[in-house]
Amino acid sequence: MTTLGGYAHRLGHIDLTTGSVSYGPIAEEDQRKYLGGRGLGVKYVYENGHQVDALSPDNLLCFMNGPVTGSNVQLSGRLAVVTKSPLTGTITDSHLGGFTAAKLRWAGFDGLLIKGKADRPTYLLVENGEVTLHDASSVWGLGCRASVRALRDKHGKDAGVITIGPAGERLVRLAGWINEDDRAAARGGTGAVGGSKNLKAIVVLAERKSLVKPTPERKEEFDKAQKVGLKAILTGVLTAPRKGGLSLYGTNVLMNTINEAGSLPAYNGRDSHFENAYALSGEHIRETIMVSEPVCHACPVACKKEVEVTEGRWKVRTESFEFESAWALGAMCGMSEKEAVAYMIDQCNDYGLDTIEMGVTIAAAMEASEKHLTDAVINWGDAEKMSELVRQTAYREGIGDILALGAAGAAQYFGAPEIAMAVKGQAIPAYDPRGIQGMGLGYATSNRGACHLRGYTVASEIAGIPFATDRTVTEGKAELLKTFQDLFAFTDSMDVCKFATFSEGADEFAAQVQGLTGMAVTAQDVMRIGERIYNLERHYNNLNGFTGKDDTLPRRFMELPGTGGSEGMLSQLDVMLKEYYTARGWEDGVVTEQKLKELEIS
Amino acid sequence: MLVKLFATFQALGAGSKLMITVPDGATVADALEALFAEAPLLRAHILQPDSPELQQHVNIMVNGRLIRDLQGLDTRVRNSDPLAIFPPVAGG
Repeated sequence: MTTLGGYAHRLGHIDLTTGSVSYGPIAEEDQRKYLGGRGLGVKYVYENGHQVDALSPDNLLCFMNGPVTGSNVQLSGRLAVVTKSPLTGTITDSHLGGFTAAKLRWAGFDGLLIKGKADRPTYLLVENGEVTLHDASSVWGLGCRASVRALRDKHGKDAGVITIGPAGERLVRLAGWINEDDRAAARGGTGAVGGSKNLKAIVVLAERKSLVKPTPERKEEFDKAQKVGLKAILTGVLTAPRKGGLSLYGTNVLMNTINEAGSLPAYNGRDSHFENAYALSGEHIRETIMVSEPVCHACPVACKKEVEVTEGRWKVRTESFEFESAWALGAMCGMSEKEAVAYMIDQCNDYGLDTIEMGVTIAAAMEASEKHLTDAVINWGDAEKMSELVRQTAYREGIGDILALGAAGAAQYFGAPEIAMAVKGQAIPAYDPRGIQGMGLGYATSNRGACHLRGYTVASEIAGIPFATDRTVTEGKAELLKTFQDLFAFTDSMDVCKFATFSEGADEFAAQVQGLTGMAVTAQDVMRIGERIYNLERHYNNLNGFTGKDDTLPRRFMELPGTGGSEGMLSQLDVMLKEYYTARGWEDGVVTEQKLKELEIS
Repeated sequence: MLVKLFATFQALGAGSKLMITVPDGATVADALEALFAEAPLLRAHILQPDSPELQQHVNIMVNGRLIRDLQGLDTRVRNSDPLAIFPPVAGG
């Protein structure tokens, strides 16, 4: 039994095939080497074997807390969903916010490791250190909202509910998990893994009287570290409540900035700026349809922006008018009706779909239509048609059965793989690789396919945090990206929100984990643990056949010059990739035996 | 010259867009002085109080390029160049 503080020291091992549940601790060596959250989940998925079919009962689906989850460490309401991705064939992890992660910890768990396939729709009930299996037939087929309502009607209004929608049930490759209506772990198709197991939902009950809150091993040191971090958040230029841009406008504060920099892909990446971006921007949303600003556990930032459209075709109230979602379902598809975007975000959240992958997939279909690669007529900016395609995708009806493969799969079907703005099978997010050089390298080398959350060089290249770099140059971007990737692998394993990194750094995170667990942790350890996790992910992918040839970008970004503020620019990926492999110590995208040994990966 | 203001800067009396005029050979610093003449509340939020330097993490773009990557406040501008000014912003 490990003696480290903070942890619940309890994992639930659920076999849905046999209906059995067992419990066990986390090996202390694993805690020290992989911490929790993403790191431990990656370790367990790796140990489960790389050859597993993502949608088979043998795939392991992990819901993982980090050691700080549920504590009073700021922004610690995150939970990692880790598995082999049915969208990419890589290892993947996707994180959700809200309150259920904290409740899972308070109910006595560091994580749930789920294998097998139930013989009927099933949900898990987690309470007082126990997991029980229940018939989910009454909620199977329901949207995420109705599922959450029904399960709360049964188990109480304070129940944490993480669920899949119709998309996950139908194994749609862009299906995710939705927590409490609108907090999504959406990327990588983890919801389809749930559907393949007949697992509809996880319900977590944490009665106040039975809370098992994290106990710091070094309380005085932990309290001090927590206060230092909190002060950084409260006074940070980006995160300060009611003052910082992120707090006031949400993630969508970036829409105008990125567009002005000519780095907002539009019309499926044909352009790198969108003429109507302002109509979708955080500034415009705040002054028109924003109605409230919800929070997650232990978060004073309140980046969520709930919007309401009170009349007309797109009448809706929904919580997550995020930058990425507004871009994917807006600019990328040449669409600038904010009301329609809000409606489609809500559709995606109710069906349990990744808004990024959905928007980019529709954009690919629009280009296919324009080029007469399909009989379907799907015009740029046609909101009515888009909304119908979202529904068809969730239910795999008509052309929706093709779109359910994601952007890469759909483009392949249309006979034009080059129109998929995707890397390793996953759609790109909202930053154009022609305008922000480091992000192009980040997309290419991400272990879960194109992603901005593996290494957010935008912080440096646009915002100038923690130091400014020129977005148009390649020099130094390899080291910059590696630093972000390793730091984020650590924070994803604590597990705290990415936005904590806008105001805190490795020193602050090390102090929090050290005070909580009692482990000696320095900033150097933070980076080494992160590097170990990043290399284990890459090693897993290598075992699945991924090499340097997969570390690439859609040709468009290297051949078709950017527009607007990045007029004439191209991604210079090749130059950066060589430097990156050198910085990583990899050979053509493959982790060497020497590197595995150096990082004590076994 | 079209000046575009974003996020919290819009609420400082200037709205989201306004026009200013700068002479030939003007710099960003000159353009800012013309802007402050129209919207004086912006000065304290854009420039440091005791030196002619930008506040931390305030970003200005000329034709989409950050002036910190050009010649800073000495970057030359023409009346046809749009100027975009942002308070500290980042998201995800």
